[in-house]
Amino acid sequence: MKIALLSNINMDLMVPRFEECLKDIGINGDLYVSGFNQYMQEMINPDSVLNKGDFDIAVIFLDGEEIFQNVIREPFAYKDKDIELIIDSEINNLSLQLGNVIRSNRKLTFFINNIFIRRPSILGALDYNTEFGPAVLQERFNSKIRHLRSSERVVIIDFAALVSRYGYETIYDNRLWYLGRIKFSSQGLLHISKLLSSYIQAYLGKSKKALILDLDNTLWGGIVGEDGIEGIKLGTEGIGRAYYDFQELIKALKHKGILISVCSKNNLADVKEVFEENEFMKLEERDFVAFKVNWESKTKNIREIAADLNLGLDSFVFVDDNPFEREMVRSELPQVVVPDFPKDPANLTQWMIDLSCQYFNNITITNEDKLRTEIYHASAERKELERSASTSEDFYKSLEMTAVMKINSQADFKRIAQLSQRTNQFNLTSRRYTENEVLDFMNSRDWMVFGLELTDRFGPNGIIGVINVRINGADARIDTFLLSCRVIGRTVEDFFVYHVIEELRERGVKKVFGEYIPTKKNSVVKDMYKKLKFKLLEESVDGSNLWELDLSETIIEKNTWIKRQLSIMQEVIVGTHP
Amino acid sequence: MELIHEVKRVISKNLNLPLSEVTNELAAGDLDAWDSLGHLKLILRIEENFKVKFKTEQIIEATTVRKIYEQLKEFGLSDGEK
Repeated sequence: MKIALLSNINMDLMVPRFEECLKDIGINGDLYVSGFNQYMQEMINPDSVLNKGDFDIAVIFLDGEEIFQNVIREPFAYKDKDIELIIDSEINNLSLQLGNVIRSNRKLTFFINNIFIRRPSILGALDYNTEFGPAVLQERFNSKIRHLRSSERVVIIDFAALVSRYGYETIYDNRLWYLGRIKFSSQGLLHISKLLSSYIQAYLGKSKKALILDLDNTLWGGIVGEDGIEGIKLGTEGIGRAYYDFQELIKALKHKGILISVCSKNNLADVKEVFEENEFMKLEERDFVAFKVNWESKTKNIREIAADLNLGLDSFVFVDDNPFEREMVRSELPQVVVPDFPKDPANLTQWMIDLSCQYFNNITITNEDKLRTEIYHASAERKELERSASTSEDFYKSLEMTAVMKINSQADFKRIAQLSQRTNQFNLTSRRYTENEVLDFMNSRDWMVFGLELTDRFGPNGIIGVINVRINGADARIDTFLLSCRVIGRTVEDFFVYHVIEELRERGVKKVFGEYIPTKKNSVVKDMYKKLKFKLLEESVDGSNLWELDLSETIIEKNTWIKRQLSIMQEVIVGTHP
Repeated sequence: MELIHEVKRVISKNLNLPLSEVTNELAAGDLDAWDSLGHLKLILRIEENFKVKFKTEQIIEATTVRKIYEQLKEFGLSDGEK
């Protein structure tokens, strides 16, 4: 991945640390650092490395104290309204140049920080009580930089929060400033590197997806089996409040789209009693997607949770106060993240926030994220129905499925990109696309993006399937074909392909080509095109193959289990593609 | 390990130079990697390794292998201790 780092201060020292942090999250970063204070030039000059270099990401790191050095040095020379004008001119210039690069470069995404300015200033109390004072610089600039996010291709990095978390003394190094125009300490550079990596991880959809929690001395203080349901520490007063607050944060994570499970060595009856009888339990049973309360080993339970949720072990974070259990999971399931647990419950809130910022970052949120837990519950009920149905035909009928096929629907590009990043099993080519790339396909005359939204008697599933097609005259090539693992085995694929092909036929397509590229995880769809009656064209030694369907012979059978509700057609916007 | 050897090991690793070429008199400016920015990088690594914090004046002073060693002794570090 090609990353440019542009700044108004010397950031050379950060490079090795940044590369290491990227490697920790599985990204091989190819870094370019622009010359000192050249960030504007890099954007303006059409021949700059940034504009010529085919970068994926540009980080613009701005030091606020440098931008506003004149105001900071001579605070009495600037009144409130002068400061306002200076800030506006900085923001407008930045916005203009970012806009220009974004229009001419189809790929690049910018990551730009909000600023931090040392406070208090020399003016002290005058700062907030007179018309003079640099105190307002940071908050005004930051409230305006937020608006740059109006482009999907600009992500704002909350650097000011990092300084408030770790303190000016930790992040900055005044010696390096005087000796080398370097602002940050080793520690600071490491913190900034971690911060950037976690944002990039979120941008790429590689953040963790699920949290597994122990109960005793984790969700509440004490041991329910010994202390009883009223004896455990949980409440709105005293140290019990720490656990109450902790539970509230976990609830917020759930609303952010993280799947929460319980894994505890306990008697199920005791635990059920706590959930039902203790009035201070913020978390309810339905907030969890798996409830493993038994005396089996935690590794066995975690494996089962992963299998039930259809997620890889590398999607999980496991939280337990017991160092023995943590060590066991670490050594047997090294893909699972197992953080140390705070020794003092008073630190639980800060600890959970840090954990969330490191592993559960999102930079966008889709409707599917907000409903994820509910969607999983519906899926469990569906499995139950399947078990009780006498034939699979009965099962499909009883699901009462309705589907909406959406074509180039701009409202769904975030979810479509998310599926392309996350789907491993039912994914014929496993090509990963960012939000920008999906938008580009939707706006292109040569591409069609089909999304399938499915609803059944248990509720909405959201968008669960994607087919991206590249059209060249009478030929169409299926570049991406994927289904969310939640709907595998429900004949949805037949329905989806049938309607995509009918849509293509109407547009004058005569031949459709399909590819299968094998990965470690997608063998379930190895024979998909064969099942769909495509003819094999080529087969390579690595196992990938190419298939063809001649539309002059209608072969695919129409699936009758899913009622097609309506198809939303959004015309391809002509003229935006070069 | 003797303090001077540990100093040389850190310098050798960070300047990417064989240990045998890290002499007591090797100085800032002798190598491309030990320019003014390289000097700051090196001192930061020394600080991390020996868990000390140089004063600005000490960073300016410590421009040879021997001088880095001498500054470290100021912190009470001695031979036989890491």
